[in-house]
Amino acid sequence: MELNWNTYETTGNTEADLAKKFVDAIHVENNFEFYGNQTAVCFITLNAGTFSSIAFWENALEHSPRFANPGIFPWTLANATSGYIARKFSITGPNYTIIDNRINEKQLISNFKTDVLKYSIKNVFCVYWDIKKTNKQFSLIAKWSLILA
Amino acid sequence: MLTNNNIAVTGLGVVCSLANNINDFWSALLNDSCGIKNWEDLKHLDFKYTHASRVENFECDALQRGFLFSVAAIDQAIQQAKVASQEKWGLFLGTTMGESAAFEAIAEKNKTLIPEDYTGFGICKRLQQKYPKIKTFQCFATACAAGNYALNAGLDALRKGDITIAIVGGVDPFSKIAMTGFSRSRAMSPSGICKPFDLDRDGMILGEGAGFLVLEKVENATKRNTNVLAIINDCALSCDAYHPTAPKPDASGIIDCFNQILKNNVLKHSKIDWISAHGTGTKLSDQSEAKAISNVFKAYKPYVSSIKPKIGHTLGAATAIEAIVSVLSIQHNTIPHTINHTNSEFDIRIPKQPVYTEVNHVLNCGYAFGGLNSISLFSSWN
Repeated sequence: MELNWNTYETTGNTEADLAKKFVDAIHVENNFEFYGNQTAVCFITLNAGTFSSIAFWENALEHSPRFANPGIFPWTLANATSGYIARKFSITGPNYTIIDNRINEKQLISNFKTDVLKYSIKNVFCVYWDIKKTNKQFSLIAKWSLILA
Repeated sequence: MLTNNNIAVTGLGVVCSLANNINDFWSALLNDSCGIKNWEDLKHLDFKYTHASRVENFECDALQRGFLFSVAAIDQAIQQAKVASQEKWGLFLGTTMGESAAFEAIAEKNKTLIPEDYTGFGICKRLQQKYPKIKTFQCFATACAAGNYALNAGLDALRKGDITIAIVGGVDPFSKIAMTGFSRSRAMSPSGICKPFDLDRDGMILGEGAGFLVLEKVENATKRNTNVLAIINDCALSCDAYHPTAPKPDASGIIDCFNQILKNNVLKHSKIDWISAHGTGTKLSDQSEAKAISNVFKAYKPYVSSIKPKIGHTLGAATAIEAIVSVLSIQHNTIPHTINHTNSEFDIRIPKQPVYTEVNHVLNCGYAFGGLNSISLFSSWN
């Protein structure tokens, strides 16, 4: 089994922006079917959440921890984007966030086979997420693929 | 059951506010000691809430605290398991933030650091250097359910024969970012007393720590003449897909996990002796968890307790440390109690003192921001 990877690139001011733009683009450009608890999300990233973590603590230092912007906090977690993807596509199956600097296709396919047996999974939405920060702007290169049973 | 390959737990290691070794940890869980304190340094930093459960007498470079907690816990676990040199190790780590102090240092602009070096991936890389027998690793950043995700991956890799020894665990050092975030999310306890499932509960207390387990096939452990402490049968995962931080009010995701694990392992409800609950002490999370337990366990009510009033919420380490407690509970035929519990709000069976009874099956629960639900099942062996 080989996976076909698509690439999506965008820029934004926050990690939340990037997630929204990515999901909107997937919605518009594709006619995917997801199957609730029979779909899994596998989100692979080396740095999701790190920039929001830094931004949140900068905000706390500026305003005091008592008054830091609470809206940033959920995005300090690497799994915030995979949770967002799940909410937008109503995916209630397993939701993995793996911290890695590469896509391990063999591992993804192997995990998928296990989840087919265990949860009767029909497909897995795999996303590789790489963020760069230049000055105050974020740029995203996302690669995504759908593994089908 | 998906397979007949029984997976044994053969080693345990822990670092938390209560203890840095398994024996002291277990003793502390059964008495009234508590690792939560009020911290002056947090007051000086202008935190609204200043109670936390931090590891004392562990001097180290703040940027390597997660790595060094992990080393301390892994050393204990591999020593107990007496792992042989020819074994092929895999490392499976769960963490919420990795080395959070590094992100704080970057924000404070007092150090030039590469953020990616301090994620869970960075911790895994350093652990691989420290333990060259680690041939492969995977890091799960699935917030407060991360330990169970790591257990699930280790279990799967062993069953597939990819490795012969799985070093599985979770770690999160104390994080000012998390302290701020949970405070601003109104999840922290103003009283500084964590009271899971209590009518008067007012929130969580942040902790820190690491918990690691050595897993291997039972036949491998038997061949090596190593004690099987318990077996890990399965782990069930689901996602609420409901809200970034709040649990789904009908608790359907958690209920799915319970039903799935009971069905897949052909277990009657009455066979579950103890539910090691997520039990954070927050209004919504406890409500949702109790609702799920009441919904699934109607006629028969297993004991339900949480260790978070003692060690705080250790985030990515929580379900790993609680997995260790699940194993200890089976080993010692003892169910730890929930301290600070006086007025029950829910129709669940919460022990106020340790319960000395035969323990054969334990469910270890962890739920997380992002709507993640996870439950692992541990059982006695022979």
